[in-house]
Amino acid sequence: MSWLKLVNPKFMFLVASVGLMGCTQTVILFKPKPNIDPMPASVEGCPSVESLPDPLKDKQWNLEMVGLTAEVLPTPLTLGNANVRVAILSTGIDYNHEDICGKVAVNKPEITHKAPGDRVEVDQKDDDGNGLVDDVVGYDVVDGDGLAFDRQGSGTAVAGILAATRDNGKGIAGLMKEVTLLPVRYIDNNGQASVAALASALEVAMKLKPHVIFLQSAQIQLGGWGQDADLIKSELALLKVQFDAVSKAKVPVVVGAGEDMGQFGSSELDKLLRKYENVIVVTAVNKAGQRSLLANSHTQDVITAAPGDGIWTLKPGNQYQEVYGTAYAAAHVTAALGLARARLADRMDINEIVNVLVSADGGDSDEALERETRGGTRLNIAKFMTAISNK
Amino acid sequence: MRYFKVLLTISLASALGCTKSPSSKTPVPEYSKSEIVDGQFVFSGNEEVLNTYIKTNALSATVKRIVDGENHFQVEFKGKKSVGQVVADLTDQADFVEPVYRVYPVASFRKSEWPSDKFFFKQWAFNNMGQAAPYGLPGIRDADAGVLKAWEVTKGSKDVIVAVVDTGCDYTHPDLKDNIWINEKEAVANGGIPGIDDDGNGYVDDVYGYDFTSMNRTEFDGKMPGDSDPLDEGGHGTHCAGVIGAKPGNGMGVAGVNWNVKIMCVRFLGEGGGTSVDSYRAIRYARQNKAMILSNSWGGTGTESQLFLSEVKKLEKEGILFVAAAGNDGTNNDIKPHYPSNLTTLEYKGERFSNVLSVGASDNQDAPADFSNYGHASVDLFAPGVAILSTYPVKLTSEGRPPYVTMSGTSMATPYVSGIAALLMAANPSLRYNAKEVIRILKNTVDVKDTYVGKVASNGRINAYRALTESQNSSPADPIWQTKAEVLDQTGFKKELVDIRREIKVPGAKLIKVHFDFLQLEAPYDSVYLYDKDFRLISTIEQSDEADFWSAAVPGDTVHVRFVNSLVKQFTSATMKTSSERDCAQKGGISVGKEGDKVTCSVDAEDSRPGGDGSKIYNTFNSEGFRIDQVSYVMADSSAADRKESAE
Repeated sequence: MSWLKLVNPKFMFLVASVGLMGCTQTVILFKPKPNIDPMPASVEGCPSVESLPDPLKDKQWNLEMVGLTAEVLPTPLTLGNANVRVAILSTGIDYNHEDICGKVAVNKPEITHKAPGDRVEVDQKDDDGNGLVDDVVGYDVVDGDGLAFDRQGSGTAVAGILAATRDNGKGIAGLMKEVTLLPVRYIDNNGQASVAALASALEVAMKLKPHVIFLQSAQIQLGGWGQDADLIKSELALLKVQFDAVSKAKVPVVVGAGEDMGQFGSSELDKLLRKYENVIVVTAVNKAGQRSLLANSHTQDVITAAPGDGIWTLKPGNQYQEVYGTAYAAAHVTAALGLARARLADRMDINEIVNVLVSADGGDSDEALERETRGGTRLNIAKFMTAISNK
Repeated sequence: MRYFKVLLTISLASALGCTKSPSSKTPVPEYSKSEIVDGQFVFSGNEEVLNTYIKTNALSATVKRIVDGENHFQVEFKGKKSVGQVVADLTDQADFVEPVYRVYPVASFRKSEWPSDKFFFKQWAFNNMGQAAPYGLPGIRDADAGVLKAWEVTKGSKDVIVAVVDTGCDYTHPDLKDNIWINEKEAVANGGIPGIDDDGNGYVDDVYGYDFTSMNRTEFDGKMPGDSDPLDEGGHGTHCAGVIGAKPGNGMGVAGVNWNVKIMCVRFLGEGGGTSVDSYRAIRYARQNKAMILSNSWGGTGTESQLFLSEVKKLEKEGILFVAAAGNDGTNNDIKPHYPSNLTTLEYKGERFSNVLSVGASDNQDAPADFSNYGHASVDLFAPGVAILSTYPVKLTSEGRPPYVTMSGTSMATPYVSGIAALLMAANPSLRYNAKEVIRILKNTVDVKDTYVGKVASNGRINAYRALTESQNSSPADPIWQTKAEVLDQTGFKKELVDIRREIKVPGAKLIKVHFDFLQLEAPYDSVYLYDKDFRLISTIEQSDEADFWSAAVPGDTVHVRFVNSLVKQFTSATMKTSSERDCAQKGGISVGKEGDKVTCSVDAEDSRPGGDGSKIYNTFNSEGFRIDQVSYVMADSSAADRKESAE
C-alpha cells in the first residue's frame, strides 16, 4: 500500500469510527526553506549619500529617447510621489540592492524591529488584516511567503529602470524620483510560471492596493501536454476572473508584447489580454528608434513602443546588467503611468491616457512604427506629461 | 622554472592593478576581450608622437594609415603594454586614441542558415537570441548549446547509432521516421518474414528496436519477455528521441540536434516504470545491436543492481557511451546518490566506470534548473533542460493539434548531450566506440559560468560548436587543493526549530570544500545547507549519519553552513475507511493510503477527541547536528598561475 502525505494542518473532524489505534506518527508542521530570502535592510534606513553623478548614466540612451534629457530630468516632471504604488508582477525584486534603497515597500505592521541593529522578526499572523500573512516585502506566490526576493534578475531589472536612485554616485538613474514598488513574485528562478501562479499573483497584487500594475509576460503552457481544449478553457476562465477584478478596479496593467519576432496576439493568453481596455501592451525599440528585431508588434493591440533593446539597469547583488526585451519597454510606460498618477491622482483615466499615448501630442510619431503600434508612436515621457497636464 | 615565476609575479601584479605608469595621470581603462581586438589601437593625431611612443616603449608595431588624407592610424603592436595602458599613455598627446572595438550584428543571427522547421525559433537551445522560450521568460543571448553553429562543422551521420533507452518512441512520427534505426534484415520491405528471427540476433521481428517492459503485462510469449514493438505509449521517449534527431530542414515541427542519425528505440519503461532486469535487457540489446551511444533519461535511487552494473561494464569495454540524467529532485548527487547517473563515481569490482556521463539541466538564462540534481563529484555538465520543445506521439495528441510538446527535466538535457556526442562521432569516426575520449572532450569544452561553478565537475554548460572545434585541447590541470584545520562544532540540539548559520572564510580562496567528521541528520526533519558568499545554495545534505565526508566544492572564499530542524508534531494515529482521498482530506486526514478501491485514512486520534486542541508539539528528536574539522581550498591565484605558466 502506498501512503501519501496530505497537506492538512487543521484537524477539525470528530472521528466516529476509529480503526487501528496506537500507531505513532510524526508530521512536520514547519521547516525552514533552503532558500534564504533576506529581510529588508532598508528598515534601518538608507545610507545618506553625497550628490554624485550616476556612473552609468552616459550609457542610458533610453532616458534621452523618452524625452528625459539632462535638462528635463531634474524638473518636477519626473518627480513622482512616494504615495504612488506600482506592483511589479515578475521574479521578485532584490530589495536590498543599494541603488533602490527605500523604493520597495516594507510593510511595517507585519514586522517587529525595535531598534537599529535589532533583527527583523515576523509572527506568522496577518497583522495588517490585508489577507496576506507576513507580507513584509510584497508577496511571493511561488514560495508562498511574504518576501518577494529576486534570484533571477528580471524583476530587479524592471525595478531599476523605474526607480534607481538618482545622483547617488552609483549605477544608473531611474525614470521616477519617488515611487513605491510592490513586488509580487510569480515566476520561478528558471523563468517558468503557471496559470495558478499568475492568477494568484493578480489576486495578491490587488490586495496590495496598487495604482499601476506591471506584468512581466512569461509565456505559460496551457492545456497540459495533451493540449486539451477543455482544460485550456477552464484555465483561461480562472485568469479571466482575476483580470476582470483588476479591470473593474480601473487599475492599468502594462505588459510587454513578447519576443516571438511576430505579431502580438498569437497565444491564448494574448487573446485574453487584448480584450481589456486597461491592459496596455508595449513593444520595444532599439537605439535607432526602430522596433527591435525580436519584439512582437500589432497595429491595433500594441499601444505604443518604448526603449527595450540594451537597457542598462540593476542586477541582483548590487550589480548592473544590460537587458533586452519588451518587458523593459513596458517598464518605461509603467513609469509614465506612475508619473501621471502622481500628477493627476484620482483624475487619471485609462482611456484618456491611452489616447494621449497613441497621439503625436503625447509621443513621438515615427513612420517606421506605423505598422507596429496603434498610433505609430513611441513613448516620450516629457511630451506625455505635458499633454496630460493640459487636459 | 625561476624564469616563469618572475614573469608570473609581474603579470599578476599588473592584473591586480598594482603597477602604475609614472608618465600617465589618465586612469587606465579596462576592456574585456569580447569588446575589443587585442593588440590593436587607433591613434589620431601627430604621426611623430606615435612613432616616438612606439620607439621609447620598445613596442614591435606596424602602423597603417586608415584612409588617405586623414591622420588616423591603426596600430598593431606586441609588447608588455595592454591596449588600455597605451590608450591611457597617449590620450593627452593625441586628438583621440582608442581601441579597435568589435561590433556584432544587432541580432545574433549566426552565419549558418536556419533550418525551415516551423517551430525552430522556439528551440532556444539551438540558438538563443533572447527570443521567448516556448514557455517562460525570454532568454539571454548565447545561453544555448551552440548547435546551430555546430552544423557548420557537421550535421551528423547515418553511421552513428544512438539508442534511446526509455518508454520507446513513436517511430511513425512524421518528424522522426527519417532518422529511426531500422534493422534492415527484419524489415518486411527487405524480405524479412514476420515471426522469424531473420537476422538471428535472438530477437524476433525487432524492426525498430525492442520492448522489454515486464510490468503490468498480461501476455508472455514464453522465452523472451516483452515484444518486438517499442512504440511509445507514454510520450517521454518520443520527446527525448526528437531532441536527438527530429529531422531538421523538413519544414515541419522541430529540429533535432542531428540532421542524420539512427535512433534505436529500446523500450523498457511502461506504465509504472520498469525494473532493473528490464533495464539490463534493454542496454544489452543496444550493445548487441551496435549502438554507440545510450541515452538514459531515467533513474531511481536504487539502481545499484549488480546485474545492471555488469552490463554497463561490458558497454565500457566496447567503448559505448552511457549518458544518464542526473535526476529531478533538486538534490546533491554527491550526498544522495541517484542511479544510474551516479555510476560516474561508483566502483564495480574495484574499478570506476569511464564511459558514464551524468547530465544536469540548465535554462535559457544560463542558470541551473531548480529541480536539477547536481554534484561537483558525481554530475559532469549541464545541458539545456527547461522549456524544451520536441516531438510527442501523434496518438497522444489532441486532434488538430501539432504533435509537439514542451517538457522540462534532466531527461531533456540528456538527449542534448547524446545528440551532441553523436555529432562528434559523425565528424570524427575515431571517436566512435571511444566513450572515454568523447567524455573528455565534452567536459573540457563547456561554457563555464559563475552560476554553474561548484555544481558540476566541469563547472559549465555543454557547447556543441566548441566540442567540435576545440577537441584537441588537453585537459586543464586539476586545481591544487590545500587543507587546513578549521573546527566548527554545532552538535547536540535539543531545542525546537533550530536555524543556525555559521560562516567559514578562507581569504583568497577560489573554491572551498569542508570536511564533516561528524554529521547526524534525521531525514526529513533535519537538514544542512551550504551556501556561497551570496547565499546561493550550493549543496543540501538531508540524509546522513555517516561521519567523515567532504562537501561539494563551494565557489568563492566563503562558505555559509546552515543547520535547520523542523517543528514537528507527534501523535497517535487512528485509521478509518473513507470513500475517497478527497473525503479523507476533508475529514482532517494526515495521510491517505490506497489499495485497489479501498481508501484508508489516517487521522490524529488524540486531537480528534472532543476537547483536543492540536497543541501536542514536540521538538525534533536526535538532532545531533554536525562538526567540521578541516577545510580544503584552492587559492584564487594558484590556478591562474597554472594557466599563465602553460600559456608561456
